[in-house]
Amino acid sequence: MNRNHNTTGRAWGLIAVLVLALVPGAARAATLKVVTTVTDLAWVVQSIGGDRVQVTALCKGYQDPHYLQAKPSYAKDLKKADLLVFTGLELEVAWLPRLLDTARNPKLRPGSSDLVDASAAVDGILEIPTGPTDRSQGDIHPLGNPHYVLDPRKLIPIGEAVSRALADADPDGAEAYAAGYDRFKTDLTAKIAAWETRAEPLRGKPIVAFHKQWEYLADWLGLDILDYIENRPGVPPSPRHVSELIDAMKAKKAQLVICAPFVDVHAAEEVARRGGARQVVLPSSTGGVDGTDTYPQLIDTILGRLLGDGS
Amino acid sequence: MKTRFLGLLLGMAVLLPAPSRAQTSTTATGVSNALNPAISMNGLFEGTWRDPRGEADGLTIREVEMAMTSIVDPYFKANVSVGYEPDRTGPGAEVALEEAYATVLTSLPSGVGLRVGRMLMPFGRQNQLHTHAFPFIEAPLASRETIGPESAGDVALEGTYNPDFPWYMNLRTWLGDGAVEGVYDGASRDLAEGARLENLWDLSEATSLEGAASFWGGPGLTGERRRFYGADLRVKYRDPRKTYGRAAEASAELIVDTGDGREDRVGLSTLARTRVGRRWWVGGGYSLLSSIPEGTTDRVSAHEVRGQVAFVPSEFSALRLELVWLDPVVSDTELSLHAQMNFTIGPHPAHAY
Repeated sequence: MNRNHNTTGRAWGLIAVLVLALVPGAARAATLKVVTTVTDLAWVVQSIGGDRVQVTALCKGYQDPHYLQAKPSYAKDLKKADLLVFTGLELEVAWLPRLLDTARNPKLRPGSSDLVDASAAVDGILEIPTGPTDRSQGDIHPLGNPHYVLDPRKLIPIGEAVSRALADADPDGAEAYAAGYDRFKTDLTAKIAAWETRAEPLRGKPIVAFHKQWEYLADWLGLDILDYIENRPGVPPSPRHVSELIDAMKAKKAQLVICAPFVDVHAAEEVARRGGARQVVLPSSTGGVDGTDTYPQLIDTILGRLLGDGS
Repeated sequence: MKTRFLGLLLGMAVLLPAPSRAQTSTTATGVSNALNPAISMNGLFEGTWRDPRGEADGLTIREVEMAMTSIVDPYFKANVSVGYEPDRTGPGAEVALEEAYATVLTSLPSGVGLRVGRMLMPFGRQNQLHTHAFPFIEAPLASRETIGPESAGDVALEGTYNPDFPWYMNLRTWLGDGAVEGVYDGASRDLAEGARLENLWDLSEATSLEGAASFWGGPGLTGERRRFYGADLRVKYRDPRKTYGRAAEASAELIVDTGDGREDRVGLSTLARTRVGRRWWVGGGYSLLSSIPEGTTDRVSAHEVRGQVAFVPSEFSALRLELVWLDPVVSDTELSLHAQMNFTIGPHPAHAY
């Protein structure tokens, strides 16, 4: 009798375990799988989604997001994703479409609300061409400059769009995402004020940049970009341009030459040396160099290197 | 005649002038370009010098290709590419539909993907490439002498499935019409069928290894079935931390051509190339074809060796210079020099891996 009782009890226990295992969310909180193309957007999603999201960034902070290889293994992450957040403005056009085709994730089909173009939330996109445009101007972005994440003010509307997208994909977590966004906005707003105070000495400082990817940073901090080493995006500069640039740097007393770690750092170093300026290698994304695991650490590092205060 | 008419239509489409003033409402005219497909064009111009001289020597347009792609509706995406190719030895030219297929966008069971239409058949590595994407100016000897000098396409239904394995695996199977010029008998009512299993392993962040096996069978030109078996391998390296950092790849492809009432032919092609500067690449390749030539009984091997220097000013143009040594066995050895200019206009293309 006792033995029968035990057997029946075990059977019910087993059934309960099976039911819990088969009913998603019954035994554990749902985790939303979010893929972002770049690490800065991954930080936004993680900050807002907290424990409810599992975030993967395809392009690491030390990689050039224009030229990521469309390796099919990246499609494995996209195949399992509930949501994709990308920069837009054709920054990822050379690799993202092919990866999405390979992944064949029904949630991430064209027109799906689970494809979140972060640029759609951003006001004040810079360098939207207003005149004739062709590739004699280099590998330009015809929809405008996509490097807006380097202006932290742009992340606030992106955060709002992300919280809405998370809530749409996971309605049970809507309150948590709304609270996450409020916290994100408050924290980031306070940090922006502190960063602006710290960056005050940089205002109006004449600088030279390697590639057209620092305009939003310059716009935010009031830096004066005199010119670019790569005067046509994606095209190596001519010796004549470099020579004229160095003359202009001397005439206008350019103090800094900035470049990302993944470009030709030695060319930037040479221009800085000949132009009498200081070369600064700046991470352009979260994780771009050691000590930039979060976006605030990224901006702290950028400011520290621009100011040369060693922080 | 038909191809010339199509060429004329294409030419008119390109040459028609843009409207000189504001357009009348498209609601009234019904003439709108708002949802036109993305259009890109690729041009390939070549110079060839052979020793001994051949009838295809000189300067020529190898191919001009127009590609269009668009989302059709919530259910399909369409890709169309049309190529113009002059006859290198005469005044004629051919305008041919290279690909025109629709990919199903809606969710299918187990994540299966479907494509239908005319497409380059995914047999091996080389045959999936459009002419402008060939790693060398010509297809390697082993591919040229088995499948043909250009990649072979067929009207087919292709199903694709990638299981959830720790590495990337993709299985492609297809059923084709079997009308592939020079390969299968177009007049036959028999269908062609094929499969390709492809794998990719990330050996490190910078290095990947790809391995694949393929099969393709169809109605042979002699009435007997013809079957191709293939295997290919590629190792690819690219410094992930630099935009124009070190990059290199090495690959090998084996093709076994069997049936169709003749002795088996076995081909092997290898290549290696590396970036040697921001805009410079060098590479080389070797190809072999083992066969029993018609009218003989002995198996012989033909060999080909290629060396190439490529200058790639941007993602939209390239200049390549190639030296080729060919020992066809059945005739004298041949040395040739090839130069090629390649350009692309239109939207930024998504790059193949």
